[in-house]
Amino acid sequence: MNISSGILRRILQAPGDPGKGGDTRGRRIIGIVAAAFFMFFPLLPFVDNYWIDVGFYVGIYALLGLSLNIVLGEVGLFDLGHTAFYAIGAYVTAILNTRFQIPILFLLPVSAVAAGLFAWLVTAPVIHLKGDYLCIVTIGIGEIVRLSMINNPLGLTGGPNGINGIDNPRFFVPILSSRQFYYLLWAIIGISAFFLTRLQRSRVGRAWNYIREDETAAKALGVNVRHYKLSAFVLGAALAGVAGNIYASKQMSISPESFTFMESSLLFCIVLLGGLGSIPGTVLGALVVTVFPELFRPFAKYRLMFFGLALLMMMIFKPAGILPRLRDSGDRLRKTLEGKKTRKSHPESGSAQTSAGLPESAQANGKPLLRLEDLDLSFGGVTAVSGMELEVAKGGITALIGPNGAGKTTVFNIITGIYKPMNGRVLLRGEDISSKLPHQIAKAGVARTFQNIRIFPSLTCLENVLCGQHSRGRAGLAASMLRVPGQRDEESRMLKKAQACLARVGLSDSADSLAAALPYGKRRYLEIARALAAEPELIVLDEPSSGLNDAETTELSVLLKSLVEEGLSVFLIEHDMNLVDMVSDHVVVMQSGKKIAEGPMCEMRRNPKVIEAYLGGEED
Amino acid sequence: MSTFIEQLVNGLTVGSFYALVALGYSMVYGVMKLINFAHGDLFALGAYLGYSLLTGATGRITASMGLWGGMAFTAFLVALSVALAGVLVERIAYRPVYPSGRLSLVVSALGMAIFIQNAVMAIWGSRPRAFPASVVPSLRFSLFGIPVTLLQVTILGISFALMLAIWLVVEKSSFGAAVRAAALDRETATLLGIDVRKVIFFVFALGPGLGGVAGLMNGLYYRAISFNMGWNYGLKAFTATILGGIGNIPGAMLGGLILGVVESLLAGYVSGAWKDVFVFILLIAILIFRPRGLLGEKTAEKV
Repeated sequence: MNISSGILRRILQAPGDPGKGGDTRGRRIIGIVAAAFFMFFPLLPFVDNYWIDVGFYVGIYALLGLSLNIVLGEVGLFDLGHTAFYAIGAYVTAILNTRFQIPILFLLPVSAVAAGLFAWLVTAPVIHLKGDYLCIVTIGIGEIVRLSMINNPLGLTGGPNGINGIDNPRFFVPILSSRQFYYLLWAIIGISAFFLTRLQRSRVGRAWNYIREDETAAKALGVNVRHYKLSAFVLGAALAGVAGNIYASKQMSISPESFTFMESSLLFCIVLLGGLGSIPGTVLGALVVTVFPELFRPFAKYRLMFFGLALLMMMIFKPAGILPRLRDSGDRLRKTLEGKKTRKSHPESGSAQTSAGLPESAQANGKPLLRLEDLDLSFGGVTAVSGMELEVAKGGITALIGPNGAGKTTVFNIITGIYKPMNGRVLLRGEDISSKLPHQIAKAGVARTFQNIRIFPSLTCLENVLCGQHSRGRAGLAASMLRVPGQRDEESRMLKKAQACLARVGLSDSADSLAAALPYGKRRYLEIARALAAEPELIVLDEPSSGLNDAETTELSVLLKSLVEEGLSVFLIEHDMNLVDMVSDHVVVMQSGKKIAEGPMCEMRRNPKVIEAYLGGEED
Repeated sequence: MSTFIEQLVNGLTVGSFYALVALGYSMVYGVMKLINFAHGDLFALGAYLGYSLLTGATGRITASMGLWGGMAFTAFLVALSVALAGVLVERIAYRPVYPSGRLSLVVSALGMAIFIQNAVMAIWGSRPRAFPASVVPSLRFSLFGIPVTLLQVTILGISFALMLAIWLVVEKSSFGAAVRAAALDRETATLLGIDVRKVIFFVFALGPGLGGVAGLMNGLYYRAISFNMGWNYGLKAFTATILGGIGNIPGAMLGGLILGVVESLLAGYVSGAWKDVFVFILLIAILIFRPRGLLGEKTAEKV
């Protein structure tokens, strides 16, 4: 009693401590206990077929919850129409089985592919929509699918009554009994959870999380946001399709009633109840949502009312969910890579060094690294940048200064591809990058930080910095799930690199802390480390000293100079003229969207135009 | 041509329900940036309260106040109680969850919707209820050559009067300016001395109040009401909100009326069974091609 409550307390309280990743050992114990429970549950003496079936439906919701968790939990996309994909899986199975007598288990992958394909078709045109808008679209998709099933197109779906006479699956022996169905389903859940856990600890899973935490930062650091959002939808839908297949064969009949908005919102609640992005949490959420109404069956009339209240209470008192996802420590990540046999991975001499992966040669060959030509951009009649041009030399520090509202950050946003200029070109090493997307620009060698710090608060510092390495890796869904050797090598290379970059800014000690727990000044450094991890040629810093005290600013200037010594080029926006004076080789002054002067800082201090820009004209 | 006119009048009537419900969504979204998923169920609550008042108490109310006075009093009672329910919803389900972020808010809103829907079911039962026939005398007459019923004229009259009143309050009064300011930028509005709590109280009372009246009129118009009707109406009204431009008050009214008309014409000329599918395809198309809606303004993404 004492022991178990102790474990329970550790498990429930661990995430309350925002500093560290949490207690993984307690979690593992409960995981083993839970797995054993699910394995032996149908064999327990007092468990009859009724409760085995309840266990089966817990499984269906767990599988659906895991599938929605990919979209909602990992990527943070509000999907309130997930039942549509479940329905597609169920109907594909039902139609193909009843018309062509194709065996159920053969239809399992078919349903998955059909649901995934459907998800791709319907979400590709809308994936760019933000938050609530995407949410509404998914509700619409859910309703369109359900209403279409009711309307019986081409006589395929059987209308409101649905389809009857679906076969049972056959896996060597026919699967008929409640117990057999239970084990078939939970085996599939086990396999899915295994691969999903692998995904969580991979480049793909992290990319999903980066998007959830801060989409803009993710894309500016090289994550192809569109690609990863779509892949999450497709994978999530495929898994929901699998659930649909098993559900249809268990029920032997399906009808549109099973695929309502209520089901979608229930799935949404399962994921949030368990804890966003948490695999064990999702299973637990499914358990709660399925068993809770069963226990209240005597109060049939009021049970859903209580359920609604319970959801409310949960969000008031424990918004992070019952079992929130714990982040992996750096050690854990490394161990996962090494596997059981400690693979002797020879540290490549190059990346083991502390240098933050800098370009080999830094010869200043006279050619500018970055060149802006005649840039124009306005927002609804307000001109932000007009006719702006400048050059950033290779291997130096260029500063962009100017009064508030001069358009400096807009220039940065154009360089990094967040905004598209209406006119003009951005040349990186002579190549026009103005039509490229942010993640392509990051890959081409430009990394940035943000004026209002944009870190990924609920990830560890190490994971934050790993984001920079994203564009230097290639491993996709399949490679990450199968953990092929190339993927392991790539991961360990990324890990080393990220650790080196953290060390570079003096944050090694905080590697496993959540970024949200860092004090303000350190967050700026974390952003810089993240940008360095992208192995850029040009690093673009938006007011790096803002919010830092004098000592920290001096430290920053030392760091910037040493980066340049190693061959990096720096372009920064700065309001602290002392810092600009200390570090910059060249200064460009902007006012009202235009360049008004450039040269060394000492000249700028005397330039009448610059003085006027900062102090205001005398005629005014 | 006569079917066209008939569908048009029918569409405008349904559209005015959508418009009144859409106003609630739009005002709440404007200030809170939150889709009040419970709003549709508050609409249903209004219908049921109206049903109880009309079958139970109104015999007495109409006897003492006359038909129109009695109806007006019923509508007033319904609006008041649903407004109270709306304020309670905000206090219980949204205010405590607000600091935990959008996802938690969605879940607590869904939880509240489930609660209200099932509370209605627990009180009034799961079978549909029927409004008493001919509360408003079933008169048919011709208005400028268009055949209408007295009920339609009444509903349209009340709806347009309410919409005009809201429009005047929101666009012309200084309190309306506070509401619009809070919708534009809540933080700055607070800094400028606007009591945002008052604004929130206002939108959560007024929105559901209007929704409740719409529920009552909907019951009078179709006569049959069911405990889960709120979800479908809510979704349609939300579509109307998006169509007009979310957070935009005149947009919500326009969106509701257009949606009602489009829907009726689709049902009349294309297919009744598929009309809802078309409506949702329309919704998705708007979001792809004009996400700010008909009257919404474009905003730049701040980085």
